[in-house]
Amino acid sequence: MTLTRRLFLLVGVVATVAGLAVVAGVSLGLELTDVFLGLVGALAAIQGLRYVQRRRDTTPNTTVTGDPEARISVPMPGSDFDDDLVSAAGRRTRWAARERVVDRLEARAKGALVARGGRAPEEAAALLETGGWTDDPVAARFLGASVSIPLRQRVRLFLSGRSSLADRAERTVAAIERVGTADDPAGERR
Amino acid sequence: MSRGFDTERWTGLDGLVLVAAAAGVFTREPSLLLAAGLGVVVLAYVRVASIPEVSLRVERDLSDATPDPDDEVEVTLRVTNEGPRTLFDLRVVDGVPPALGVADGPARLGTALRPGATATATYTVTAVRGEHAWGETVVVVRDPSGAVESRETVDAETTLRCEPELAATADLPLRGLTSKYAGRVETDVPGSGLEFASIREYRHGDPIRRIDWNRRARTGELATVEFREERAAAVVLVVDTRAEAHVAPDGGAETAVERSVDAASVAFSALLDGGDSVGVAAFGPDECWLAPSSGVDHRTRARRLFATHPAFAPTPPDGAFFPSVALRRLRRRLASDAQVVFCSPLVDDYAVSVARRLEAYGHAVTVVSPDPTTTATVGARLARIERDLRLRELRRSGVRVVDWGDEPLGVALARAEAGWSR
Repeated sequence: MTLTRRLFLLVGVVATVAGLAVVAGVSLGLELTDVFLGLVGALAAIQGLRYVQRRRDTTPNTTVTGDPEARISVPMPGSDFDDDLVSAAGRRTRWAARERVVDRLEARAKGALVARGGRAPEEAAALLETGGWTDDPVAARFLGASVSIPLRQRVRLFLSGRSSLADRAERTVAAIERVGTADDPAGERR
Repeated sequence: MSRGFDTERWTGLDGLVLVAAAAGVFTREPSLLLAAGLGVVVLAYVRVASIPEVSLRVERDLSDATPDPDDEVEVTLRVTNEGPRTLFDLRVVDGVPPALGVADGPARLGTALRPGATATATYTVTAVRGEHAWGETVVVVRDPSGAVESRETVDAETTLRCEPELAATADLPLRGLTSKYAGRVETDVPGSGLEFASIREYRHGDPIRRIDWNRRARTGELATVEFREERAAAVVLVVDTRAEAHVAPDGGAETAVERSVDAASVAFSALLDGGDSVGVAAFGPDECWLAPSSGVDHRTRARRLFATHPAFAPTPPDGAFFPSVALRRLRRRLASDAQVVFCSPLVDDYAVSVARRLEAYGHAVTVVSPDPTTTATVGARLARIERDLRLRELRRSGVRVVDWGDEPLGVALARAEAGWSR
């Protein structure tokens, strides 16, 4: 017990004993004047508000049980990419996550052009450079090609509010999905 | 009596009491002072609140302790208060094994319990392959005011063991998985070979040199001698059980590892029936190895292994794993001419390199890959593209791949085999 607490305890005990003495009829020369009552009331109010404030800072301490009824949940394939997209929108993790997203999509686009589109690796790299691998300028730009997006499309994109990183990544994934299929603009010319 | 721990539920009441008293003093209103007095009584009660010593007996009954997969098992949880005092607020949460999903009813109970009384909770779980042990049952006891709480655990050992039969359910075209060249492994299948197996009635087309001429001279009947057929090498079913392989299309769905083990167990049975000698291995943190062999005992061992070995559990492993060490160990164990059936969802590049390296070391590798990908999110679609690229890479490097989607395994195998023979 610290010295201050001990002191406060002493004051409390003295006050209680004095109170009991007054009840028993001993006069201590204290009158219930307005000033005295006001003092006691103010002290009680201040202390009371302090306690209420303390309540606001404490969190209830109670046992939390999990969900034993649910089966163990394992991640979905690709959830790491979704996490990257989320952290690419975050303030602190933005650049690293953005780079991971673009790098991964670029590698997959190249892989798809080689494996599905029947291109040579150098040819695939060149296609990515020029943006000729897809008919979607947003996807082409996302992977580093300097393709200009027509003004009308740009306005439409801006107005639709679908120009975030996640939206552009989604369009790029859709473009990679189309590689090697019937509606592939850079389709096999063999 | 035990104190438990303070829940802080009534923290701040002392402040309210003081504020009410102060207001009473300022306004000269006796009713406010009286209210403060009431608060003091509640505070005093909270101060002395305690909970009795908790002494509970927990029993758990299963309607069937050895069910078949997908059977519904009813679990009855009985909680008896063995202490001398009434428990006013008792909450019981059962420790359902993580791999089991509760199909009906919550696995918990909230009640007051007199001394000697018993409360019962009933719920239903859906059985899946494996050996599932119930964990600790969590018991939370509070005093009536909620000021004090205690959390305890009670253990009631219960195990549910679900061992699917290893019968090849369909006529699987698995013979295409293993080569039919003669080799040095003897099988129980009668045919041509060196070691005598049996004599059967002559059928048109049997080779003349295998006719039992002694018997012909004795009885006048034609009979054909059969030898134990010798077939190429052993087949080892390697299941990818790394943490990476524990993925599923959505929360409650079968995980890729569960499907891989299913595929391996079906393949095991079919290959064994076909006269091959089959082994089992897990490629993951929990080591598991069953050397290639054949026979009834071997089948029983494998059945138990698939069902109860921790490596094949549906829950992700948490041990450290060194893939290159594990791959070296696996290679040392594989006979040089052993064929490998690698069951993996192929959701990362390392799985591909395992298959390619085994192929490069001279083992004929067939990858059976359950597809865990969906199109629910952008990431999932990308994962599907990546997996497709991996399958193509494997096929290009000469590894045979069975891509197993939602269809039955037999259908996927038939489709894959049609592709191989082209």
